[in-house]
Amino acid sequence: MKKLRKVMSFLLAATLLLVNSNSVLAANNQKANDETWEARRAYIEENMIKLGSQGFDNVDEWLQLNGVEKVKLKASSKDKDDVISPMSDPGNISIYSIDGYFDSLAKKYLVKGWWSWNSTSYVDSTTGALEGVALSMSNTDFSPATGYVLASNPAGIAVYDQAGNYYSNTGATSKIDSSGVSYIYQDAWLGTQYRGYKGQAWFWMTTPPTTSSSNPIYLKMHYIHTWTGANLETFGLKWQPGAPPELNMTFSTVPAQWPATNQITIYNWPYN
Amino acid sequence: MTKDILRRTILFIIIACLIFTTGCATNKQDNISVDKDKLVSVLNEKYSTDKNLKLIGDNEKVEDNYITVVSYDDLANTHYVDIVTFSVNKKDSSITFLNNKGGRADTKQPLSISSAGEIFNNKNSYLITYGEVYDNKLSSIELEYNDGQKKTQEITNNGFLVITKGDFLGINKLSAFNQNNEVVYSFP
Repeated sequence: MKKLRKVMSFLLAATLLLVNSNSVLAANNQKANDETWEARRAYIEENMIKLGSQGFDNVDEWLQLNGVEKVKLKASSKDKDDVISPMSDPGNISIYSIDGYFDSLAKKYLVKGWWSWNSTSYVDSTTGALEGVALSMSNTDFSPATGYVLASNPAGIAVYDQAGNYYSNTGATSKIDSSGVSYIYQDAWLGTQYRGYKGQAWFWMTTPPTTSSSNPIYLKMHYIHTWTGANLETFGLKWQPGAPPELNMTFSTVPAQWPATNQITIYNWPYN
Repeated sequence: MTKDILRRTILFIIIACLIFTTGCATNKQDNISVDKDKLVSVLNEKYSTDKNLKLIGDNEKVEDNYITVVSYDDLANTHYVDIVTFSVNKKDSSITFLNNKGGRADTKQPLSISSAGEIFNNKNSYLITYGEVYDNKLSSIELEYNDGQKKTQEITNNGFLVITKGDFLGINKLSAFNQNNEVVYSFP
């Protein structure tokens, strides 16, 4: 009987040890996964910023080489096109290369878009108030997209001049408002170069929004240029029922400003 | 009675150990040759709405499955390059299509190149780099990973397939060489 008790105690202890070690193992695995993801993300962003000085197509080519699939390139035999044509918005600035991506190595989702001035003759030689950029995901009734999960600290922005030089010191900051992120930074005329001539903004998700062929979402990029001085008081995305999401910036005094927008429609994110 | 329970416990532990070791042994890789005619037949059925389907590069075995590269045109003559994952039955060598992924390819470029991340058996992460070659001067490609390792692959059947397992973060550079080992194309 004593032996039986000993055996039972041993089995109980072994089970407890196994359960505990599995919990520790799971926690360690999660930590290792998080660390792997942060390292992968830093590597991707570092290359996006570096190659961005040569243009958006170099960034896209590098992403493709590195297992980050663009939504419109993902195709099966039956479903070739996931994206419809963008709204065009001619003016001083072009908003372009708005896209969704899937990092098939880290299993994360990326939304990214670019802006570029159309000519150096349009840029302002005086430094105005802060510039604003926003990326949003909405349903076709313009309500916020659903089902998504943003990555922690999801947003990034890279600002260049017309020669492609990257500026890390632009005072950029970002803010999450529902299914979108807005960013601000300071543009400046630097004698021969205009800091803010072009740039890219992005954010990461761990889960993409819910989409289907009958329930697509809009990815919209919104840019606000200012060219007279004013102190920024608030900024963020404004979601109004039945209206497209808008970047909203309020200032101490109203600066001279104009907006530019563009958007694409996504029917299917590339799932692995 | 006590002895009987003790015996049963020991027997249970022995059986559990046997099951565990047998389970581990199933990871052992068996080399089975892939019947290309059978593979083409399976793929033709899967890509029945497309045309000009070609196997490019070589097959590679990854854990329990195989990967191959195919190119094809859709009915609108848009060119695509995909990787296809399939399994081969050990008994009768029959082939089962598992999945495909890929995208449009620009045949005006010297080569098309893409990568896809895959996790096999829920734990092992791979980066699968594949492409089709349109410039017939190219004879090999080299990938340089961020951890410094380099992999060179001969171009066969106008394509290539490089599968790398590991903890590296990505590919820093692609170089393509001609037969004289001169760099003809590199990115970035």
